[in-house]
Amino acid sequence: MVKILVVDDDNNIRKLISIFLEKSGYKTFCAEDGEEALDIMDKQQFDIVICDIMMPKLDGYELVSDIRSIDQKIPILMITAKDTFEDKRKGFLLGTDDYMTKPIDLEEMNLRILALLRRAKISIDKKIELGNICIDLESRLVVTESETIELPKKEFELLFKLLNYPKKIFTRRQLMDDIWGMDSEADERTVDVHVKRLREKFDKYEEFEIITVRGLGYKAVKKI
Amino acid sequence: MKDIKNIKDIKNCLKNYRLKSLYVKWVIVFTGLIILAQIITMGITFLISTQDIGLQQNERLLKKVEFIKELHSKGFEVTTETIANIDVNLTFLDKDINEETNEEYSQYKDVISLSMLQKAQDGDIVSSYVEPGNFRSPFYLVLIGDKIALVTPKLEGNVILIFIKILRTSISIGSVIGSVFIVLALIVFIKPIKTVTAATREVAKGNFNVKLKTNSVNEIGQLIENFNTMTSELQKNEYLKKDFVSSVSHEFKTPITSIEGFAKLIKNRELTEEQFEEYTEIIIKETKRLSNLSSNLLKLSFLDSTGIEPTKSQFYLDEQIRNVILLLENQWEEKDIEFDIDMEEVLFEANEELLSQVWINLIQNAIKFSDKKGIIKIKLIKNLDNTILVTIQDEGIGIPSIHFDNIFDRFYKVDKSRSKEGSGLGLSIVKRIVEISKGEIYFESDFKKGTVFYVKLNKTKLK
Repeated sequence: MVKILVVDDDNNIRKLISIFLEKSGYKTFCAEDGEEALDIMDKQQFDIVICDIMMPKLDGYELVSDIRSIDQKIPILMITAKDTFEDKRKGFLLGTDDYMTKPIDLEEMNLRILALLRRAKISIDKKIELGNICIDLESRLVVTESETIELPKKEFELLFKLLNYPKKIFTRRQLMDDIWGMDSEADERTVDVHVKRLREKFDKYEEFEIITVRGLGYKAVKKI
Repeated sequence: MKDIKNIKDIKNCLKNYRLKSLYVKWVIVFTGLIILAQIITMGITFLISTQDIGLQQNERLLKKVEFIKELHSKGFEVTTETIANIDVNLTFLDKDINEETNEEYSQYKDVISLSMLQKAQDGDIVSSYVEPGNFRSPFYLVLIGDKIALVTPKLEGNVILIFIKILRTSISIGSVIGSVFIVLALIVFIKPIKTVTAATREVAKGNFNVKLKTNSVNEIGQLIENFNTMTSELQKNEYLKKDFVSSVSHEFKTPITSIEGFAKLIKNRELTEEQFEEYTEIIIKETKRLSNLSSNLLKLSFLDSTGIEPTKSQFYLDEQIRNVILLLENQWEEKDIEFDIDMEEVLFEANEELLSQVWINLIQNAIKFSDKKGIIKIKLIKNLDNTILVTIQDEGIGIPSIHFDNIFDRFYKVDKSRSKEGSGLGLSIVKRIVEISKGEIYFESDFKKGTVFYVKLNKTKLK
């Protein structure tokens, strides 16, 4: 049973999120502020933490910071009314994995939680499994029924990124910055070339496909 | 004055007597300047003229001295009394002479040297030399008979002193007259300033209905003209503000009324399945509307109030627009809308957050007013004159021309039913941001064919 900690100082919000998540099959615990949250986390293990930012005693930013100092891996989703670029940037820099602004769509929250849990599992298992294909993170090997392919570093990172966020469109610049780094000599052509190479290797497999979204970028979709 | 113990006390004391009135200050300044000018003039004139006058006086005295000598040689008895008409003082320097008995001698004794006396004894006519600026008149030493006489001009005839007297008098009179004129002139000068001050005080109290009259075109006239412009703008803003507040009030109260009303209806359990569905749907829609409204209002009021320059950063404009499109993916995917994107790579400097709000609102509108499977064209081009043009075109329902003048107005909605969730503020916000960014926004629209929005921005020099 997946355990979720909900931290928000508003009674109604806590109730709302809690009821919704329980209906979706999760087990929820609640905390009113950052301090209470840390107390509960001392005694229990959680799969995900959902927290607000503006809370008394210990605010969301401080809570995320404290959690990250003990646990680098636990997924954190911030749900808050603070909606400026600066607020988001601060959240991500401190270590949150995702950020939603109030008023939130609970359905959307659910989808994001699923995505976070899936990525956490991948991170723990160190592999992505798609049908008959297994992508091993440590060895950079892609093992299929018929062959074992070893991918060069950048190709692997590109494939991994796209498959880790299925259906999400990434722009060429985003891929360039994330995989090759901001200061590298690579340009958008480099990304295109790497995608081409990946397609050459994996087009024959039905399990997934890398799609070009014209004008925007690339996305990977799972076909099974 | 209280005890002055140290420098601090003196400073404080002076502060208390600080000139509070511009008028008094100007009077003192101008009068002081006049007097100063007069003094300088006096000094210069004196220095220039006295040399001249002195020489002339010297010559006249010499002539008189020669005359006296001639008189004597012709047997005339020369004493102080007998030559009284010649306008000179004659003092015989014999052994009895000393400072106490003779005023003239006492004045000149320190400049009469022994060599001079010797020369006079030898028969020369010895003269002093007149230093410029020296109020002392010239004198001569001449041998008359067997005595040396000191010849000096009579005080009343001392031209230099007369000159000084005249100078002093005219300066004083001049200063007084000048000061009187200044006092009068300043009264006239200060008057409009006082008027503007009083008017400004009125405005500060909140009364914007203040207008001043002026006929002059000079700086004061300009000040008054600008003052009038300011008050009329303030008045206009007052109206807009009152208008805005009542519009906002209405925009909030309407959905709140619906929500409260339908919630109450739901409380009463005797509802059909359909009614329940319908009423809850309305409540959800109206809350979405309220949510949109409040966040847009916040944005708008932030934009209105900011006098501070928004912080700028460098980013790729094409990438920003791409990210906005991705942000709105849910909305366009729902309608199966396709994007036709043609953007040049542009490194831009601006406030990232504000500018992205422009694209979000415009593209959101394009999506909202497009039909299913519509196409939205997005173009970004760099012009030669360093401007950037962003084009957002949809094939949607378009805007009827009667609305063209109003679409950027606050709370203006072309189609109330379609914009049910909209606040009517989206385009006002866009326009305001484009204005702040010193750009331009315009559009073209064909009813039922589509709309194009053009945003022109200036590409500033990057560091």
